[in-house]
Amino acid sequence: MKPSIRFHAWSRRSGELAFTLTELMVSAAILIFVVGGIVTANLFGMRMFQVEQTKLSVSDQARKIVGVLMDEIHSCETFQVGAFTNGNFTGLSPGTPQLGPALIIYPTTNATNFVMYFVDTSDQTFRRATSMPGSTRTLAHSVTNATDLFRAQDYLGNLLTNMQDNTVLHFKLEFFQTARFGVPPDYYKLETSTTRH
Amino acid sequence: MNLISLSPPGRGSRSQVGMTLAEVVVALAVAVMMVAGLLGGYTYSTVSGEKARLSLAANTRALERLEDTHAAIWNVSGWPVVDQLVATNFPPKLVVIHLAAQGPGITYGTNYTTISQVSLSPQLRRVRVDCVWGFQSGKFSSLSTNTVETLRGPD
Repeated sequence: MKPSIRFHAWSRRSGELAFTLTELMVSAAILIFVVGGIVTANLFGMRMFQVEQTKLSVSDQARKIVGVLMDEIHSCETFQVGAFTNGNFTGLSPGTPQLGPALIIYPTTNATNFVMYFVDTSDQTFRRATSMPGSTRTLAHSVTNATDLFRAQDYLGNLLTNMQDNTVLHFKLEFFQTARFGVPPDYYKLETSTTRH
Repeated sequence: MNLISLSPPGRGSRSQVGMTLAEVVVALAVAVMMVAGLLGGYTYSTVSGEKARLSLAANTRALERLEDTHAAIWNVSGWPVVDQLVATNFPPKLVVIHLAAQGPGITYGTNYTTISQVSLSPQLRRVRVDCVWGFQSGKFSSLSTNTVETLRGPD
């Protein structure tokens, strides 16, 4: 004779061989609570990740801009603050406050070799270009301070009207990050100074 | 007929056939703690990212002050000697640290500049800038310092 197997469900009495409706409902409710909590936590985490990703990528971008700009100023032959209109850089005249939206850096004494930073007022982007054609790159969008990005000052922070050997270049970039991926719009400001060595 | 009983061992008496209220409450508490831990982890990660971002900005502002000291003239070879690299020219300066103006608002910091003579022959000075800034996250607030330091000789 084959042995038969009898399952005693959790030591129940003979009249209670299965879960009751109440037990099932309670179990289901607990399961829903737990799963709901985990799903909520994950959604919250994804949201936080998106917020942080946006902010950290902006920080990373800012660090790169500052790093490159400082290196270029440290090693340059000379630089000049000016304006950028119709695709051309115009330096500020001596005797006028050296405050403007564009900067040209000459790494050597060769004036045909340069690096230029400027705000394109047509689309409010902050760009970097070199003397090589087609080298223009957009560094930041939605720039809000299109008139006073670059400022030549002395070591005390006073605005200069003429460039000096020990001019400090003060750089201030304010830009707006539009809403994306559900992350609300945000406003960013990047400010530092650098000087030739 | 051979009967094999698969009743779970160690169960209580017949009056304890289901889960007790205490078991349910403990299970729920464990679940709540687990979810709270997950949320806490995410929140901590966000706060850490925010703090790292502000630290980067503070470092940039400290470097700004260091660059100011680089521009100060220190010429000992001419006459009269020009020495602008003195602490009185670089008093504590309040700066805006924030990169973002959303959330807790603008974060301020203060740049403290210390200039000390390291050696007289050859002339060498140490320039140190401490950017002290406050970080606030909810009810928790703390002070952090970013320090940059360099040595400088006369022009």
